[in-house]
Amino acid sequence: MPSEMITLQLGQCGNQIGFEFWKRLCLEHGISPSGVLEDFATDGSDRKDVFFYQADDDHYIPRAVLLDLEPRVINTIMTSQYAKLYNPENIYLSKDGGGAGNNWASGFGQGEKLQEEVFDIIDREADGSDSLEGFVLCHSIAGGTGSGMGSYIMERLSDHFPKKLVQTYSVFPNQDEISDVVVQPYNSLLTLRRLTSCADCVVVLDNTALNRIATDRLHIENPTFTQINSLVSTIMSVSTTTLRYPSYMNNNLIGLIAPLIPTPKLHFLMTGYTPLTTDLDVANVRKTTVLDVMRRLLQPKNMMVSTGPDKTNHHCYISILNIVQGEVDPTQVHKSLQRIRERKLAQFIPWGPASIQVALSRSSPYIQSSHRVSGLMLANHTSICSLFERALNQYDKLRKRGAFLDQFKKEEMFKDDLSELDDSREVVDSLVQEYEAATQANYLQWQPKRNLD
Amino acid sequence: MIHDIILSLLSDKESKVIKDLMTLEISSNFIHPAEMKTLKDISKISNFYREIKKFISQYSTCANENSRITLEIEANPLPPGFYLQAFANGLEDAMEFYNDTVMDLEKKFLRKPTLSLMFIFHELEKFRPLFEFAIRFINGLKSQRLFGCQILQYLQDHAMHGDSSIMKFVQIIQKSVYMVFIQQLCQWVMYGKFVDIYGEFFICHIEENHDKHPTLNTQYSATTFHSSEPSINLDLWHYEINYEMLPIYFPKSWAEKVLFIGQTVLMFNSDARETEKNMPAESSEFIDAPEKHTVWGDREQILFGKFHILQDIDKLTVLTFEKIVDEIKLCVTEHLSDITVIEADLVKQLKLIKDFYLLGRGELFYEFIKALKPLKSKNLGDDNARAINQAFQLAATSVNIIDETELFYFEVIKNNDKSKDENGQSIILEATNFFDSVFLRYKIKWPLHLLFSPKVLEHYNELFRFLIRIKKTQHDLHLVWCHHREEKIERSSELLQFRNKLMFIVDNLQYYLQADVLESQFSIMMDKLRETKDFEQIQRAHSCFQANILGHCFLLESAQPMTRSVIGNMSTSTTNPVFDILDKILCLTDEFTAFTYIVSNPMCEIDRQTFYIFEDTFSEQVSSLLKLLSSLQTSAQPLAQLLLRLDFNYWFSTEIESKNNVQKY
Repeated sequence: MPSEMITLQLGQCGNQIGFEFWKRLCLEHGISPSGVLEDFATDGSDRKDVFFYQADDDHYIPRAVLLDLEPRVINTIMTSQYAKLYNPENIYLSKDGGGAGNNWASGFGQGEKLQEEVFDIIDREADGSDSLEGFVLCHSIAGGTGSGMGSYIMERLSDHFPKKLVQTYSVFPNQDEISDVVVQPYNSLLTLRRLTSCADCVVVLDNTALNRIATDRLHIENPTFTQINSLVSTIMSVSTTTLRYPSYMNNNLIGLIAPLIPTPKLHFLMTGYTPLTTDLDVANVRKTTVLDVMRRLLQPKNMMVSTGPDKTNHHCYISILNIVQGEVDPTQVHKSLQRIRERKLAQFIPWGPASIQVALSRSSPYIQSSHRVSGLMLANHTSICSLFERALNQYDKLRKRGAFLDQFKKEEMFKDDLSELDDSREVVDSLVQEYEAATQANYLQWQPKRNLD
Repeated sequence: MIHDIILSLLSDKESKVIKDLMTLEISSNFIHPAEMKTLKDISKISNFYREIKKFISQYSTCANENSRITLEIEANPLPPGFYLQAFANGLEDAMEFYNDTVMDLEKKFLRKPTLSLMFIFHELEKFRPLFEFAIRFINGLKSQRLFGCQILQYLQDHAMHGDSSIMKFVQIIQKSVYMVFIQQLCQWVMYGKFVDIYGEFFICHIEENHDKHPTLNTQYSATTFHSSEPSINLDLWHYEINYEMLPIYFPKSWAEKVLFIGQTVLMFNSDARETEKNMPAESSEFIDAPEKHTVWGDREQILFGKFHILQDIDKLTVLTFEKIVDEIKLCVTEHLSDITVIEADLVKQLKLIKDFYLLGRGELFYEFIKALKPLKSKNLGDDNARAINQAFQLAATSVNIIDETELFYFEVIKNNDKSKDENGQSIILEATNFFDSVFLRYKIKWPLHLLFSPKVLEHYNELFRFLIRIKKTQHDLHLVWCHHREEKIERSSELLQFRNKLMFIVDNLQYYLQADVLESQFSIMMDKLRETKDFEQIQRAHSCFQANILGHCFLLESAQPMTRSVIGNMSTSTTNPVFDILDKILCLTDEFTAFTYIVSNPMCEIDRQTFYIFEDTFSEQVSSLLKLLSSLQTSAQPLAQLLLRLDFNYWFSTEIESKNNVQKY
């Protein structure tokens, strides 16, 4: 089975969104919560084997590794009706169960300690696939386990499997509410460094934007985790749909991300999805067209990343991939592209060719869609740097005061000095600079400025 | 004396009596000098008659071999044929009237021996224009050496004569010739065969011509795939319209219809043969089966009767023929479309075509390309096809497509020209031309042979080769991307930038082909199919689909959509300027891909030189592509669509403009 992907779910958030993702995949492929193919799932043209493998008894088992340092979320999963879906050997809970205390350094340190056991699982899983293409990592960058242990695993993955791609679905914290994790800026910055240097592609899931979309667009006043997670699982499932329902192109991860990522560092992708509906709206099927979908995807309000207002209006798209599903009239694609170009609805980089790539994708026959046409956009947009800038600012504020550093100093890594933090800041700062530079025509000749202070 | 003259009027040989009368001195004893002229005229008429008679006896059915040998007058006889026979027979029938008149004359003379020479002349004189016409007519036929259905054309040309007797004369012959024509037509249309030993019918059977396909190597070492199916397929396509033989007053579309009906009938017959062979043990279902598959059912008798009636009609027009053919066609096509749509699951078959020939199953061909990789370095011998098929099967199993792949298999075409230049018969499996020598075969489900003719499949293969070549290039570029990733090549590297440009072009070319061409045209075709029940409409929609995708993929010389009848003569030359450029870009990409793995980073001087050549070639090609759009006023729509994608952010156009400006100053 070629081009397999192994999913690694880390920490509370990672396991939650991973859980939603698998639920969704099961629905789409007609696999029951216990892993058995449903009777109605007779259409064999999908590729379950990218994310699942078949056990001897015809059970479909996710190629997923569930890792956490505290048992709460995994226990929830294991008491749900999906408990039998997973391979129990792929679930790893640290024995002390104490968690990482929302501390990146603790997560990173525990990751190091537990690496042998964890990589036993990952290696076994990798050996079980014919031609593994890469890893998908689900985690949040703010907490302890997902960010810290995630960072450690990312570093090891690129040593262990230098040829395999690493894609992450990284949840960025909600900026609109005060976090109970005081060291969140430290955690974020340290994780961002690994995301910059060790991952090949990061799909940014910004909790700020997700909450905003839930309240503004879906009119849910206090969106619950489940509602947010259903948004996330939609993005995750649609962004992998060309792998699972193959057609002409984008049938493997490399084909999906290589065109999106022209230069190695700028690999942070935004997503947008339209039309957004809640379960209540399913009754009326709306007549959306390809043009509607493609136009709406370019509107900031549908983006799942809150980039803040672009005052100078200089940010631009490096690349765009629209995955359009449903009853698409393919002749409309060209017209839509023409319209978008004429009306200048999207601004592109000045230093290279760029366009909107439209992949027409099949979708699951088992899920009734409330919309004729729906679309997901994966975009590489320079304005994503505002997210990193925000992280930098918050970090700087905290760092200036020297606040909460004690917790970090307890850990091995920070015992002697805090150079790790400074280095990380450097990396993230140069990333921001690079994104800014990418808006200019001379980007390819650009050299990063080093902060000497 | 006069009786002698009358007798001589019907004789084959030149009458001695008249000759004597005209030459001998004694004749003046019997004939008044004034009657001399009359006698001469009568003799002329009888000479005409003789000449006509000679023609009849030479070519009509009654004429046996002996008589022909004894006659032996004609220096250069016309080739034998049913139509010529019928013509002669018709001529004989037409002469009947003359015979009657002469007989009548004799009776009159016997009753009243005082009748004058003048009277005889008077009776015969009315035949003179007719005979003169007939002689001209026959001579015309001879001199033009008309043959087969061409005679029909000749007759039709002369059918409208002002002289009613001549008109009638021609009609009688016409009717006789039509008889043959109708018989052949009827046999072809009803049973898909005809007796045509002389090759006179406008539909002809082409013997398998080995000179025509020297490249096809059918020695595919089949252990599993070969069945009797290809033979049916070939048989069907051995019939073609011989436009030389088709009288021009029959429209070409009519002839195509006739050809189509016959082919359909042939196809149905071939199926009947198969069912009998394959499932003799089937129970009640089988008994029903032949019933269902006969095209005609109860209508056979009725239609047959109609053809009989046709033979009795004196004045046949094209309209009559059109009517009957249309009627039959309706009957055939409805039956056919029922079968194709319902039994053969046409929609599914078309999707299969899209999935395989048009690379709809991208993942399968991705794996296929991967599986072929170990083959490429080797110089494989005769088991090329086997190796390729193994790779294909491997790829198919790895992505879980098993049922469908059984319908498809590859053959290797041996290109004789090349193997002559290079030594040995084997093909070097090189990256660039590898797919040129591959032919993807498709096992056509039974009634769809009409839709997927060998020519159609050849065109699909052309598309397939083009598409898989792009796919291969894309795959290579992805590997370069991975290579750069592993080597940690920096953003500022020129290699990386150049790779991005190539990747962009290749990707967007693919997106264009997928959405704007293949999916769009496919959905247009499917819409048409949904609307119609007529098989011919289905066929037309399919032909349109193929012609359009060929055009939009820049594989046609001119990008204009073609009608069905033209497809047959479609040239496959690759002189489409857009295709030329794309081809060069793809070649460049191949070179660049190979270059990436040997180049040092940073580049040394020699590498740099090579690299600059790449860059220059690339921008040259892209700029000519952009120029092409402005120069092509007509039929530039596909190119415009492609360029919209390629130059979406005006990067290429600005780049080229700035380059041009630099050159100017």
